Amino acid sequence: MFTHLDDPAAPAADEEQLRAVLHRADRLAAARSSRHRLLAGGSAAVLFGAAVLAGVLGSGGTPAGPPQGSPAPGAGTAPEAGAASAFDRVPDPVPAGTAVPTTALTGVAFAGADHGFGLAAHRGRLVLASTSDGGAHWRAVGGRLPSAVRSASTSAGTAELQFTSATTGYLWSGPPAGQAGKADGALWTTDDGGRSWLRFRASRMVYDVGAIGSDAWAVVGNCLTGQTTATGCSLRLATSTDGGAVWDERGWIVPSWSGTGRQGSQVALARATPTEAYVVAAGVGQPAGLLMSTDDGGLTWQSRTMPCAAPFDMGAQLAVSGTDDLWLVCGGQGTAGNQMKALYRSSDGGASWRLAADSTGPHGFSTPPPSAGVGYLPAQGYVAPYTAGHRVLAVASPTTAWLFADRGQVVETTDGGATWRPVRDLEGAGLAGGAPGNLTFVSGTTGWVAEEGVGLWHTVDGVRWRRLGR
Amino acid sequence: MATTAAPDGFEAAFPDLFALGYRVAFRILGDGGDAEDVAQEALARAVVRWTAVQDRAGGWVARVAANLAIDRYRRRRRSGSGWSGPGPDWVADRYQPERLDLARALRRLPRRQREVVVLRYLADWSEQDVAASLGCSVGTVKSHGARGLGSLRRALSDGDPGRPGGAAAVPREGVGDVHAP
Repeated sequence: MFTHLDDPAAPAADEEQLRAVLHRADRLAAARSSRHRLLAGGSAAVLFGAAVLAGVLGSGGTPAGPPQGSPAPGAGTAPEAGAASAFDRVPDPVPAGTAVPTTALTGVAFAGADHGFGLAAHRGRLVLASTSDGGAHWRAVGGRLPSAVRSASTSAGTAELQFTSATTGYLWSGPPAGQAGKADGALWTTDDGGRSWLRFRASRMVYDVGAIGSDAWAVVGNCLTGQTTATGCSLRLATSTDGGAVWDERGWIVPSWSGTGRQGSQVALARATPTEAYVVAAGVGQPAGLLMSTDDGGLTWQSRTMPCAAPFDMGAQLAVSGTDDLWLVCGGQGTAGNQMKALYRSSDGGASWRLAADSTGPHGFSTPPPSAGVGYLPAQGYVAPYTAGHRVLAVASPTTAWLFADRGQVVETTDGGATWRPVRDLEGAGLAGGAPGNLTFVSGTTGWVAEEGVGLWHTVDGVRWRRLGR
Repeated sequence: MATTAAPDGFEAAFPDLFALGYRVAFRILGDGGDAEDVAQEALARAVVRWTAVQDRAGGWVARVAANLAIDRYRRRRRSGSGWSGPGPDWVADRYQPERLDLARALRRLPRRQREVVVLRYLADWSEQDVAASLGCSVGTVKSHGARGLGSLRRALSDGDPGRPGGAAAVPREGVGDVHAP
């Protein structure tokens, strides 16, 4: 009698669904087992506490062991010059433990100072690599990346990665051009260090993911076509409290909104604390996007002022250094490797903004500030359109930040964005942002810059950078 | 993900059980992603208790899926999300008001009535199958089903009787499929 309520497009039960169910069952069984041990009391409770402590240390602090598997010939030694070509000679699939040169990395994500993961280009496909020594040595993880990511063109920068521990990570791909609104959300999670991946089938595109411990959020929606226009679109928040095994699409960030998307525009999530976060939808709507905030764990969202306006309305990226300290870089028209940019700062969670710097003067670092109190932001490089995985802005504090614009240099500021200068140790390194790569920090001082074909650099004090591997 | 093997018999039963859990959840929630999550969770719980539930796995999964779907509806209601106001295309569901009433009405039913209604009308089982699954007589299924359906009908009639799937879609006792075999 309720057949009219059925889903005409009900999914068939497949192998992936079965794996997801068995995986969830494992977790349920483990939780039950832990509860039983706890209820047993006495020494059992002590052991349980120790196990929890060990888990905490293993996931957040002490690095776990290297990726398991049989090392391939050459594994266990530092990649040397010529390693990239040697790596490409390794037949596909790349065996677990195979040494991966840093020049093959198309992007890196670190769970702490030591443990990191990276997507590496191999014979035109992507493989997952990991490090447990801060990026000095990388090994292939083995297993298989999801086919949609593995087979992606490495030059397109189509996948993004985040890990919160040596085992738990998230992998997602941005909206494919011309397919948003139709395609399934593409988000995968792993709890075994990337050896296997479980897909979360979101109702729409997965734009961005932000995880703090096992508490993960994903912004899903249909707001950008990736090409032309989307009307009446919406953004929704999906959350997981168990490291991505089970997701709940809990509510709207924007339930119904007419906006205009541009090719390569971005919807990004920035989490300041476990309950406070911002979502910026750049290049959409008027004047040039949307900025939303929540302070109750995503249950409710408030609209904030979006300062990007013409001519800086081609896209924007947001970074936060704390609950209320926001940095927003907006891109305007670009040409010949240069793009007009504007950097806005807010110290009250987006309620008000001030223009900290822009690039309205002639191109070049020596250009004086265009007006009193407004700094000069180098025109070189693009901050929009967004290339998946290429976060251009990293913020350490209300005064210190780095910008790695696509096809630009890495520049830094230590005065809140008023003045920007090239990072000395990276000058002449060949970094140009033209190939897939990224800039990522795990603290105010510890970060990495990667670019495919060029290499990987690392800082532990936010000042001096050194090259890692080859 | 590294997982243990499925218990004996589960893998063979999985496609039908998944379809059942999904159908029950979708009829309540109207959202494919949510229904899929609910079906997965119900089946995962079945795996953990497989030895105990395998002989009546269908009924068990349908009931757990219904309860999980109702819980999810309650959480959404508390968070004020996803169930009211003009929505985007993926909630442009003409039956959303009916699903809302259905979830609310199911939540209020006594346990036995809810079990019968879920198996009989959301899982589309025959009265004989429902009776076998619940370990009761067909007469008991009929009486619980009639009472539960009456409550559902009243709940769904409270809304707009002219809306799609509204009161007109709920059969009258003795007229519709209440007493159908």
